[in-house]
Amino acid sequence: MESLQKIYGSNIEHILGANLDYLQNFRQDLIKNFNLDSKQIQNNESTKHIDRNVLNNLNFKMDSSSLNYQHLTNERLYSSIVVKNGLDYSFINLDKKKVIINPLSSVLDLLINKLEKNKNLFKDDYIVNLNSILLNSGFDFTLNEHTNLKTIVLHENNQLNSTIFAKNFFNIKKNSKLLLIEKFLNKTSSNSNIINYFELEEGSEALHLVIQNNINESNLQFTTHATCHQNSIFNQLIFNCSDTSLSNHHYADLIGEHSEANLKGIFFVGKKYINDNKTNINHLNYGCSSNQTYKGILTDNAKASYLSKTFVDKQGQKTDAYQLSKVILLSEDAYFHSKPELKIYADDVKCSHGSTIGPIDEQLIYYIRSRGINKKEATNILIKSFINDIIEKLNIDSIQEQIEVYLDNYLNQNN
Amino acid sequence: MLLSIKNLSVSIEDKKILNNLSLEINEGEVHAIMGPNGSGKSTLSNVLAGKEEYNVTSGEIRFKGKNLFDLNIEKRAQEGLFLAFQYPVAVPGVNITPFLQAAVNSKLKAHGKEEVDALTFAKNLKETANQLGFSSDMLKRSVNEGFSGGEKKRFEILQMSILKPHLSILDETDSGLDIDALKIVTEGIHRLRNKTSSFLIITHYQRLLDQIAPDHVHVMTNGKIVKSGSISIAEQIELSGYKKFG
Repeated sequence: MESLQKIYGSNIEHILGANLDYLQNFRQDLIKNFNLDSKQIQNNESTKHIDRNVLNNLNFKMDSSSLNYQHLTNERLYSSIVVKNGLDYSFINLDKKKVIINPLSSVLDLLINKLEKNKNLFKDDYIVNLNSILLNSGFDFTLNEHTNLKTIVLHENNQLNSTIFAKNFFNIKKNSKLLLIEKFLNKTSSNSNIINYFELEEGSEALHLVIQNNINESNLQFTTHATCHQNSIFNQLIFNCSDTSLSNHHYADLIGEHSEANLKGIFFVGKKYINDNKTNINHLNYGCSSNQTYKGILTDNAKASYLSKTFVDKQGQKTDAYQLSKVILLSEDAYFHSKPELKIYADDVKCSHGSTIGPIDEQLIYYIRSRGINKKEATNILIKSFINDIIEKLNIDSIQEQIEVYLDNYLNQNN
Repeated sequence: MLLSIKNLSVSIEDKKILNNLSLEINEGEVHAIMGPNGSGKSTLSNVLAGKEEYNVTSGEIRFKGKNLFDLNIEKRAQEGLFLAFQYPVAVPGVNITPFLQAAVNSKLKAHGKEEVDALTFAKNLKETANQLGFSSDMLKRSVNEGFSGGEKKRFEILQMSILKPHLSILDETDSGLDIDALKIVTEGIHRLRNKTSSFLIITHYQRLLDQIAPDHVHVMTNGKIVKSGSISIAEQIELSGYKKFG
């Protein structure tokens, strides 16, 4: 495979800010320490569980000639953003008094500031570093103070064998509330490496719901990082029913007192695909709480992993942190790796974790079938009940219904 | 003839549990099987319901004229066979009402009939539940989740009453029940008992049989029926145990 320097050089015309000194130096430093062929990739926690083919088949072809926007919602309550092939954007219902949004290409100074500010966040993360080196798109989104907004973002990557590297910055100002639904519904063989940064100011709240239903080798590496200031709450649910390989790495830093982060996920993986999940929450101040809960269903020869980590700094007294992973294996050939970690440096905390892996309970299937319900439907009932607690806690009917549509489609096609 | 079992032998992991067992149940009849622990009563229930871990080594079972072994678990239920479990399992996150609606609709669909809508079903379920002393709140709970032993058994009877089977097998449904719960079980049986609904009641106790008055009582030991007769057999067992039948 080509060296990263060569890939970078041959695609430089597409890379954001490639002619700016700061970004050139920043990227060259990353490239120096980045060897795509080294054993480091295999041993690095950010890449060792992802599909190696993704890294070996980067195609950096971009074309904006056939952009055609299709927004997902007609609801006036939602504003809508379509990101087409990572290059162009379309907006509807975006009230400029509430929200300011700019493509990164038009605010490169801001990009430099953000990179400088976040440079120590993911030092050894190959996926993030690759994204920084080959970055070609993204946007900056600011929700003004004391504002409520519901937004749907649809990421479309429908160009064969294209690769997108995007960074999106969400700034949620004081006492604001954002409901952000992001959808990945790609149908074309491609690769997207997308990182969202959330900055939640004092008293703000975000619910980040992500629906991933990619098919046909439309691979995705999705990373998010939330910085939570005092009394802010970041809630996230990743619902992945894709028919392709994906990685989901999600992080939160609780830097303000009484801030909260809940990173939850539901994943379905089948065939030969690999799903790599990771969450990491740092409790860096007093009285913060967090919940990391991932549940998955694996079939066929699927492989999945879930690494979860809670770090409690010595400043993090009165922390309340919970981690849970539960996976049902519907095939003897499916494989799941779970690694929960707790690192606690404060002495007055409540932290716990649990992890279960196993087949579906045959006694439950028997009981349900004995009432006249066939095996497929019985299995689907049990799968729905398995993940129901996570969906129910969203407590927003319209979102629960949306997830149930994707869930029903998945179960009808795959079980 | 509703159910005909001829010379049935069943084993599990090379251990013979049922040994050349025969039994016939006609439409409208109530049969009771009594027997010591380990005599194969629950195995018989599970084999009839279609549980797949058993190895049927010989014999045949016909239900409504059909070879029961040609039907899988759900098809047997759709044909009208119901097992009230000795140990009903909890199904967390599965609400009682949609669960039972799915069960009723599976049966209707299998017989080419129009499925019942959610509203109509909920109304019917509530009525039946009230008649059996269930609160409406209970119907909002998950199947058997957090139920006491008695509540689980009563819920089995509610399911039986809703599904209206042709043959109900009650596997020690009366075990561990207080007097009030026992009344609900007998009430459930009396409500369904008619010329076409039959019952196979597995029990250790005479007190249930006194209230139900079965048509036939059988004694089962070592995997086979060793004695059949009237309710007087239950009285003998109550007095002197199973030794004389061994």
